[in-house]
Amino acid sequence: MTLKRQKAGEGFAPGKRFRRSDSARKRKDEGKIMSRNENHLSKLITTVGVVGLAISLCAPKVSAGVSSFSNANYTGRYACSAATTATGTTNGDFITAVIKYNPNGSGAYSAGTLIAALNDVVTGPVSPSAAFCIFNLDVAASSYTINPDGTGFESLTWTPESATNPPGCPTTAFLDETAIALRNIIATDGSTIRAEFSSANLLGEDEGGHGYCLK
Amino acid sequence: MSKRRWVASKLFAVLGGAGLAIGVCVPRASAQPPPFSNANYANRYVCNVTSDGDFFTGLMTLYPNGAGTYTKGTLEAPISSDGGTFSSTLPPTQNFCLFNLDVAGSSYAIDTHGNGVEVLSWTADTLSNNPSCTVPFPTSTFVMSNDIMLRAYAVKPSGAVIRAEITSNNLLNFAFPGHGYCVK
Repeated sequence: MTLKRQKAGEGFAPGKRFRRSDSARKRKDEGKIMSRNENHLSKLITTVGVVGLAISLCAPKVSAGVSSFSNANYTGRYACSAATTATGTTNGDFITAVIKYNPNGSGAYSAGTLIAALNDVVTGPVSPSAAFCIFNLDVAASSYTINPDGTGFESLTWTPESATNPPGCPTTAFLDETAIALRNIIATDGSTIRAEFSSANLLGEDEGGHGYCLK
Repeated sequence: MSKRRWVASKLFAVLGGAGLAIGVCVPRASAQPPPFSNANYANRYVCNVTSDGDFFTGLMTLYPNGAGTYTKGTLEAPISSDGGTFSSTLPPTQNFCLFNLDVAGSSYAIDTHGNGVEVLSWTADTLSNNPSCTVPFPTSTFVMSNDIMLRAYAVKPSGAVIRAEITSNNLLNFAFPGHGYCVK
């Protein structure tokens, strides 16, 4: 060890006027060895720590569920996909729509929009720029309830945006009612990340339908 | 410089240690099956099912017990299915028809590949249902036969799968095949 240091120019230079005693030199050598050991230990801890951090960030996690649901578990913004038949048809997905709405956690909604394909209600080609019918949620006439087991019902009153909808879109409001069930995968704010639903009157067609809503 | 490096090293060590602790303590998905068993289908599932071009739809909540039977279950189907009439003056409870799972007459069996059969015996909740539920659903009790396939992804620490795909031979007792899925 001493030889190596001397070769590296770290030891005592020959011919120096002041020479330390052997015991002082020994203490210094021991101190350097201890310092080196501490450095190695520190690097080891750092490496283990960084690996641990990586594991903690990368490991697949599952969020905690709830043992009892309430209206509070259905809150925030949800994007929904819905489909049903149309009256007098037996073809599936005859009517489709996307919905964005905001249950408020207390049994009501703060906003909502339903966009349905115009071909749901008319046949034949339509202009791409006028291919959809927009409905707004009448929040004063809409509500939901969630039971402790996570099931519940929604009453959704949709009003057509008649001023901007293309010709052929429905011009009257309709009430849709759904049976919903919340998934027991809960976001940090307590809201479910997904709900399944079965609907009874999508677009006022008096036919059963189904879909889901996602955070 | 050396002191700074030492402090940085300590900081990394502390952060890393905390990360390691989080990594160890946070619940994560358990080892993935196969082999599967009845135990992988357990606790609560919500199921979205449909048949005959969405003409019949239903929302099931099932509670398999991990041992081949169920503790409870419900099925809600729109009254507007197959000739029934939706009424905008009625609350949702009266526009859906509720069926309760007869747990004594229901069972399931999952094989080692994750495929299984479900026999679900349903009884109409005639006390609370709209009397007009008998229009789309004339039979108050019926048995549904499903084949289910469990997912192997992100299995819960309990061993329960988070999703199963369904094909039904007679959804809602109609002579049409149906399909859907159950999710945690």
